[in-house]
Amino acid sequence: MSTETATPAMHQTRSASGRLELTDLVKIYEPGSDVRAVDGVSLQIEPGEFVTLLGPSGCGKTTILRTVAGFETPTSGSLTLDGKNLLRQSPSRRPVSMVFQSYALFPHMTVRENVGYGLKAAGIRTRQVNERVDEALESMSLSPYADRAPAQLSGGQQQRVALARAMVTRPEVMLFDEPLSNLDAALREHMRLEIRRLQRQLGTTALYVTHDQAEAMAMSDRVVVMNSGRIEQVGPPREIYRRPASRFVAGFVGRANFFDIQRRSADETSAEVELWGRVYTVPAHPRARETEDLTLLVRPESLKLTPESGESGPATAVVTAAVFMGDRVEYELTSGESRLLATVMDPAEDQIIPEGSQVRLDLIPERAWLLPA
Amino acid sequence: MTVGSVTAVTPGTPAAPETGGSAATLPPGRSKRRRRGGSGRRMDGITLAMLLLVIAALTLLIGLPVLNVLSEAFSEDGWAVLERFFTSPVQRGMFVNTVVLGLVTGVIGTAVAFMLAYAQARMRFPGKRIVHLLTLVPIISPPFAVAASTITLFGRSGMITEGFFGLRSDFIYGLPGLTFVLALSYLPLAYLNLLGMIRALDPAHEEAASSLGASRWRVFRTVTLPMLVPGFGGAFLLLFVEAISDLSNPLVLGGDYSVLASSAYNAIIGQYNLPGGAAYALVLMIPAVAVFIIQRYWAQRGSHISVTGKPSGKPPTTTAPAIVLPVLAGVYLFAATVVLLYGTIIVGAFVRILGVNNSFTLDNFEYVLTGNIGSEAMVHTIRMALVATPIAGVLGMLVAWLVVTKLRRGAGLLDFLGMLGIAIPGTVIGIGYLLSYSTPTTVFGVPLLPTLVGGSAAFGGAIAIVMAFCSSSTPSGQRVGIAALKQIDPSLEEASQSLGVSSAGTFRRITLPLIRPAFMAALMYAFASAMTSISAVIFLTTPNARLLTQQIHNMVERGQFGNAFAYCVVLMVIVLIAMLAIHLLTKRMRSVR
Repeated sequence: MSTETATPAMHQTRSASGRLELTDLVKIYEPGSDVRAVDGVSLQIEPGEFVTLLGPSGCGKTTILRTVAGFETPTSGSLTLDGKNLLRQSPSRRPVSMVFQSYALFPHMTVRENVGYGLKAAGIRTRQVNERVDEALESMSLSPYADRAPAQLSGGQQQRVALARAMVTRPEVMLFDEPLSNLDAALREHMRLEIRRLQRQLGTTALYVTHDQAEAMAMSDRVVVMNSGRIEQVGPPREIYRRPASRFVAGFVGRANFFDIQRRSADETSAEVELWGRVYTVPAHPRARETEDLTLLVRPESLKLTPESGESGPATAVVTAAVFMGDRVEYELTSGESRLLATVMDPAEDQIIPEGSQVRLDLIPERAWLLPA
Repeated sequence: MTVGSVTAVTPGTPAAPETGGSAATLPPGRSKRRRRGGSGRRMDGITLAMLLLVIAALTLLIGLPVLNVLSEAFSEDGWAVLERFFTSPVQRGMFVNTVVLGLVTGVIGTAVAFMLAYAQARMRFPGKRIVHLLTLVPIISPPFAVAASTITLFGRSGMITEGFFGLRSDFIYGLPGLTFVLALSYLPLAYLNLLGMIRALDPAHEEAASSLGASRWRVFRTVTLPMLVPGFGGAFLLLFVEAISDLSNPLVLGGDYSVLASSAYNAIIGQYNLPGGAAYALVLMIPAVAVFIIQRYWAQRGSHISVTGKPSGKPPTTTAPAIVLPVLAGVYLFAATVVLLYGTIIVGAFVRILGVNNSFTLDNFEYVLTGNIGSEAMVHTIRMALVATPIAGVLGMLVAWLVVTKLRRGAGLLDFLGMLGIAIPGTVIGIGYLLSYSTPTTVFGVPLLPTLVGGSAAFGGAIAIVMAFCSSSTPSGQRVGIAALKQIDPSLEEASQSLGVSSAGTFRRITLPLIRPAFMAALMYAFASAMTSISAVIFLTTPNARLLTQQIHNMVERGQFGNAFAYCVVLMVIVLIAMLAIHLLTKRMRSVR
């Protein structure tokens, strides 16, 4: 980061700055090849916003992150921060700092030296560096480890050092490259909240890369779902989950049942479909009006399951697997030729349906979603 | 998945295989190596037997000779020589000369090796591959081949100094010439060391630094260089020890710059003063072992080359012209120098007297190949090198295997003992062998070994020479072996054992194939080093065990450069053929599987 942005005075006006704009980014690694790692991505990130790039490996999300950091040069397209062209600046001049998947802590420096590295590079006086490092270590509960080598810390502590090191320089934009993938599950959930809390506190713009949909949902203001170099959908977590724009998004974010279906009628926001001999009115994607052949998305928790004796629900199915997860039971069902997933939240002990039983099925129409095939 | 009209998609499908249950993946940075071969278990029989074998071998190869040098140096006659290091300015000057030569060669050689390695790893330039091969050429040639060619080109009546510039300069004789020749000759291994380390650096560290606002120069100074400290230490040690233990170059190129190694040689060969030679050897050992221990300490303190599993990003390419242009100028200058020096050797082998009578002739080769001594030396040297190569290769791998996978507490000690062979100058080994194996070896009065040194010994003294070959090339085998074994994820061996394969079977089927490239490299190096070594074995040659290097040495001393060049060409061709053969052999072994 540049020296002037490191001064506290600039920091006060943070919330107004940090608007990151990517326009038509294209990255082709091998000249002459037509394999596009990033294929025309445009994205606007507001100051202080937390945006996650979500997608399978090889979808281009890390390339975008590294382009913003300055480690990759896009083949074409533009990249600006508060209207200023970032592409002309070397990585060290960009007011951007990155948290690496491997943490990349300098093994030959102590924790304190690691955290103070960026401040020293900015030419800040030693006394001030020490003060700010102490403050950062304090806020991360790392003070007792200040003079240890990174190798002497646990994975979680190393992760916190990496965070402190990236944040202490007060960058305009923080970049995260799957920083939690090396932690165990409990610590990972804790660190999600911790990162989010710190990011809100500092008001820094954050761009976060992950392939873990739960992580994306838990942390982000907006999620960008990517597939083979292109953006599939951008939106807040709820919208991505409930109102996916494509089958890919629906399948990648959470578990899903898909029904290939034909609509009977449709207006701007809803449509009538026939399933299991019954007509349902379901919310629909605007483009659902354009075609006849559609896909109905029903999340497992939106399927209603009743024992055979209950006699409610238009369809029947056989339970092929029942998995007790504590807060819920996950069922795998066979209905005719097809396999379905259903989830029942917080079930009473005697209501768990054993494997092999016949059940009746229904769906909650207002939770379903009709999207173009 | 699509069955009928309905599909079910399982949770976040692509996520699962990548995270793979993060509990199983080691947190980076904390990758403390799990010891293989089970913890807390008692050592099994095979391991114990191997350990005893290795210890016995190292004792015979290095331990006993060094002890004998010590005791001889402190004998009455030896002490008389040792005393002079405290009293006589001549002896003190010799000690200072030796250390200065080691330091200057070490610093310059390390710096040039680093420049070459950095350019190779981080820059793009035409002829990169050729420059790489040119840098490695000195591995396959005896060092005074370079000395002879340097004298021909830059000496008193050198083709360039006198022939081109009309200078009759003695500048090259002494420290400058020695440094030039020794640094160039022993630089390849230092270069390979550093190249490996630069390539192993995780680019994320440098990216992190620059993303924190550090300029390129700052990243280089505060992150790249410090992380390479162990590499610099290793390269410096190598050059330092080789430079101070070299006794042949100072004899032909030293002028009046006298050093310990050549004085030890003169004491023994010229005056037949064994205790005096031992005393010189002892003094020679002091700086070598000191540098070795400092380097170990450094390497241990800095043993933080982090293995993070998944390297992020590709290695950065340096493009700033302010850095690239001077570095590439240096790289090409180096390559041109190698071409010039070795071109001189090859051309010199085919003409009468290079620079004086440049008419084409095959007389030099006739002298070398059909002359009695020449062809004998060739056959003897090849035979002994062929015996030593597999022994040194296997022994080095065995030490590496014990250090990395089998031993727990003693691992550091065994590694230290094995690597000590690098720190003990060849001159010391040679004198130690003279002292130890000129008479039968007995342990508490029980005869253990017959006489090994001298024309009347078994196999005409060849055994001692083979042992000396092994003592110098075992450590490099050990080092590449350790590096290769550490690359292997312990879970591979654990997987094999949990599938019901015994520990010996696992070694044969899993470990061995994985370290085969390292083993191949160790064999090649062992053969090349045996064929080109002289410092230790020059004390041990007999009429029944002649050495090519000694013949070259004699030719250079007598000023018969044409013959010396022909010898060098023959030797280099033999080494190249052997390397090719080893390469093909190991390749076939792999494809058979």
